[in-house]
Amino acid sequence: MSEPEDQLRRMLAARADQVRSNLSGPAIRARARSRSAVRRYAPLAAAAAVLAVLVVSLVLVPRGGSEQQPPAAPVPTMQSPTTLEPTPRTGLTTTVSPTTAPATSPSATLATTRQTTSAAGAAG
Amino acid sequence: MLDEAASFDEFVHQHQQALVRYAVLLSGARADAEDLVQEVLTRVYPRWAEVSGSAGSAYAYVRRAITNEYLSWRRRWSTRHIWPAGSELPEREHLDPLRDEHDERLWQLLRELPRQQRAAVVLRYYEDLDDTEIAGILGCRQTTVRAHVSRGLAALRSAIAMPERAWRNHE
Repeated sequence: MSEPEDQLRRMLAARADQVRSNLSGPAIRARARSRSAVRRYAPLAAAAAVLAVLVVSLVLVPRGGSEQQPPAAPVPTMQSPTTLEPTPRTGLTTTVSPTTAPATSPSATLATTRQTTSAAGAAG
Repeated sequence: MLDEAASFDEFVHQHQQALVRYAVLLSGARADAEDLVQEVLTRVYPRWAEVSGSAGSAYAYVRRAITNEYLSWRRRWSTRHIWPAGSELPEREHLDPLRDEHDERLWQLLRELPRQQRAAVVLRYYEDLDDTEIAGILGCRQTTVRAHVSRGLAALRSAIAMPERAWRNHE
């Protein structure tokens, strides 16, 4: 036999010889018995759990379906002018000047005059 | 029932050293090996009357069960993140460190082999089984067994042939 194989055999035997086991038959039997009891009742417990989930869902689902909530009111996206309040400035009096900006722009005024003149020409 | 328990206890008493030693060579650590053997024996005990009364030897049956457990995906998954014990852990003290440098190299490399290869190598060179018996245990063909043993041995040969400095760098 070749050298590596011999060496491998020797090493495996040497490693194995150093191991001392202290397993006991009665302890393993006791463990097997307790495990078998758990395994015996495991399907029963699983079935009971599934049944419980089924019953709870059957009881709760119809209740949840009958109670209909009213539709939610639409939320206004535009802010009304009443809600806008000017921030008060201390020490300053608010004055309303007559030279405030007109409601209509000059271009809008021009357009209106053109429309009125053309309408007058068509009528005449 | 009493006879069955007594027979099982007798089997454990008689074969536990051999089984745990075999499991140590597979798993690489004594704690893992004892866990492996105990797990298998716990599963075997409820069918002990059947196992002990069968034509084949109970030892061969349990050894095969240990091999299957070692190769099983459950054990791979459960021991994936458990690394071998270091030199500072007490388990190492239980196993006296081997003085021979070549043996230490071989052992380290054996631990790095893939599980199938390692099982095939241990069954061939520790349990002295032939290809047919190993194929029966591993559940594969004889050609596969030969390939496992050959590749495993090739890897070990390369480690033995590697010079000391290269081995240190390899680690």
